[in-house]
Amino acid sequence: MSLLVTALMVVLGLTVLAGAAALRHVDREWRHAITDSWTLELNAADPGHAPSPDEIDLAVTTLRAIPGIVTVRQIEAAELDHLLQPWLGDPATVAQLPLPALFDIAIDPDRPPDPAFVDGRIRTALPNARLDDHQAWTRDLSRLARTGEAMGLALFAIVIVTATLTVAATARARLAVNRPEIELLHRIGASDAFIAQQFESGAFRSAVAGALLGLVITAAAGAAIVALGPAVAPLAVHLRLTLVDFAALAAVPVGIVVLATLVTRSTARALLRRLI
Amino acid sequence: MISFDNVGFRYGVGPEILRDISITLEAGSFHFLTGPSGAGKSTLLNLMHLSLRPTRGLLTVFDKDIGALRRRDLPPLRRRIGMVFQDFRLLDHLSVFDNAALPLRLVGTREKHVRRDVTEILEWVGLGRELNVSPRALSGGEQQRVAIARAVVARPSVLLADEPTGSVDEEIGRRIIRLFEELHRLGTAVVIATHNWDLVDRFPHPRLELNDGQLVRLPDGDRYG
Repeated sequence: MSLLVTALMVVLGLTVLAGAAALRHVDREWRHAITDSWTLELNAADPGHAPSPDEIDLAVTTLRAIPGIVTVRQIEAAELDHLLQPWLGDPATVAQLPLPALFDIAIDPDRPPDPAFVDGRIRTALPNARLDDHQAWTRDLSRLARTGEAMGLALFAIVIVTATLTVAATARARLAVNRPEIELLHRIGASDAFIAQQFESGAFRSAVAGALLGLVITAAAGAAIVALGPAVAPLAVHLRLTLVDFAALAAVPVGIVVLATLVTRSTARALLRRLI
Repeated sequence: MISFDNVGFRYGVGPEILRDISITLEAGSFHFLTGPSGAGKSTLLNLMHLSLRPTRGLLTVFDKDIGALRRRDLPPLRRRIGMVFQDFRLLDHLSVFDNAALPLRLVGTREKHVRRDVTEILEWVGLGRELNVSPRALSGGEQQRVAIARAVVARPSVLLADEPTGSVDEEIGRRIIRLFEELHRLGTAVVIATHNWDLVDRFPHPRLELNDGQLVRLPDGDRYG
């Protein structure tokens, strides 16, 4: 495999793996952000009106009494207006509507309550209340992120397969070009292992140089993305690598060098067996 | 050392090139292998050199039945046989020194010993001042001597030479045969394939005559045709 092809494989491998790591992090962020807080929607018992202060107090009291609920905060009217204004228009119009009261419920992540239990408890006290634990959202978002991550890993597998085929083709071409020299070495007593070693050494040196070039290109591209900011590369801001991620990324150039060396060796040995 | 017992050889499904070859080459012997062009001299040398396997009969080299040997067992035997090719087969991207050093380096000889032995052998063939030049810069005779140096540098038990004087003038040809005689005196068995009758007549060594795929041993002084 030529130096430039190796560099390209390293760039592709690192980019795809980094992208998969970013998606995994996004998934984790979304799930934590959403599952640690629930929303209660409280409609008034009297249709056409906003919930009464008593109903609101009862909702807050009921929720606060449940273990695992850390805080219960009613979303302020101004905040609600701000949220609805893009859809409903004039604030004066919004203020006249019989809107439900919304409560932001913070959950203790270490001992979260059972959403069904909370829903049952609040509906017993206030039949017009509805609890949203955001599970439907998180499931879809997680599925999306995991699909992206799986596609990234599939692309990485394609990069590895392509690299393997390229290395094998390069080794075959080099053996064909050097056929006279190989026959001479055989005839003066060189073993297949000795001859394969010569090709393997060349492949190793070329792969190391290509891997270093690939690292430099990827680092430069990464620095450029960070400098350009989230407007250009929104996913990049989520790229917070764990030790495992770093290990996986570091394994890419090393793995491609090892792959190039081993595939060259096995290809050379297989082809040499067909010669004299 | 090398023994043929009713050996036959054909390429693929073609006609038999060599038929019923039976001969034993003893250690320390010296033979000319003669015969017209296309008689099969190179094929017979390639059988001796283990580049080909007989299609019938028994070929033993250093007491090993070549037909029964596995492929990976051949290189150690080949290293005991030096071969001078008709077309030299020097590697142009290597210097004269590195070409001659190949047989030593492929068995992992220490570089200090490689330098000593290769320098000595290149001085022996008269190329002590050409160590670092490319073979392309040498004349045909000089290239032939590099090929000889490569063939003998690892002190083989047998030296096979395929038309070693084919591309050099008569004087250089005689010097090359004298080099082989020196090696022979040191105990190496030598087989020289040639159709240069004048050269053969100048040296008192037994001849093996290949004609129509069959081998006959001629007493010294006899001559084909």
